[in-house]
This record gives sequence, structure tokens and C-alpha cells, in this order.
Amino acid sequence: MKNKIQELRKARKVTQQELADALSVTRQTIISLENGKYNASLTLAHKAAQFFGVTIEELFIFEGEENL
Amino acid sequence: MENFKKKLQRRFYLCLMLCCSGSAVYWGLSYLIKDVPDFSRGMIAGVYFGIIVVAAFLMIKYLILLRNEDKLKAEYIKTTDERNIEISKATMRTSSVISLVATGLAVLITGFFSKTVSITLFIDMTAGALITVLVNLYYNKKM
Repeated sequence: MKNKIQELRKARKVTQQELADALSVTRQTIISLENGKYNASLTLAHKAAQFFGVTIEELFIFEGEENL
Repeated sequence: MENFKKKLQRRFYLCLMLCCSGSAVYWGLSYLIKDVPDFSRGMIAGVYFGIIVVAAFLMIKYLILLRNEDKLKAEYIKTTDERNIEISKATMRTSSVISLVATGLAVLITGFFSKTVSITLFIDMTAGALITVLVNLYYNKKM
């Protein structure tokens, strides 16, 4: 699943650490999310969407079933 | 955060209980049973002191965390971070499968050399598989 976290974070001039603190996760999780190595849970997706003031659909791009 | 503090306090007391009960069992059995081979005595002492050292280390860690808000917050984020939790789950899943397969192979191989070792490993493997099934049933009911 692709996401626009890095794009929105840079547009808002927020560091990875600041975003991590706001979402109560580690910086490594933000890095993995931005690299597409890790897919956020519904809770984290919701928190991230709230932080950026967008909808979950705007932040995360669902591209169909993975690993099939 | 308060719940996390309580969780750490509970863990501290669990470690303390482990130290006390482990010490009571170790010193009690050492006093009651005199006829223990030197090798076994050394091994038991090593395991006992290992448990005490690990428990003491954890207790000191919990005390430091409980007295320092910044460190407590950092530990809370590290512990509740969903990626870390996911990594732990995947690690446990993979390692238990590898362990089960390796034990199965060991049962086959040791069967050619030692009946006792082979049966011991077989019991260990069966107990492990049984525990996995029971835990799986528990979570199936819970979720």
C-alpha cells in the first residue's frame, strides 16, 4: 500500500521525530511507513490522517490485494 | 501512561517474587537433597544465578523507568509501537516453527543413537505442539 506521509510531512515541514512523537510511535516506524516497508494499522492510519487533516483514503492509496 | 506504570510495577513485583521463590526452592532443595552429582550441582547453580542476575537487572531497569518520566515515556512508545509489536509476533511465529521442525529432525536423528534423548525430545516437541494448539484455541475464543 502506497502512502503520502512523506509528501505531506515535508510539505508541512515536520520532522520524522516530531511526527513519531505526535503519533506515539518510534521514528523507525515512520521511516518504514514512508519507505512502504510497513503498512499502518487502522488505528495508526486514523491518527496519521487526523494529524495531517486529511481522510485515510487521501493519505493511503489502496492498490488491491497484496501477496496474492 | 498510568496503566503502563502499573504494568511496570507489576513486573517489578513479579521479578521480586521470582527471585524469592527461586531462592527458596534452590536453597531449600540444596539443603534437603545432598546426593547431587557435581555436574548437575554446577549446572543448577549456574541457572539459579543466571535467573537472579536477569531478574535483578530487570528490577533495576523498572525502578529507573518508574522514577524518570522522560525515560518512561520513551519506553512506553518503544513498547507500544505497533511495528515493534508486529516484529515480535512475526519473530515468535517464525522461531516457533523453526524450533518445532528442528526438534522433529532431532527426534529422528537421535533415534538412531539414544532412545532416552529421542523420547525426551519427542515429549518436548509434543508438549510444545500441544501448548501451541491450546494457546491458539484460547485466542480463537478471545478474538
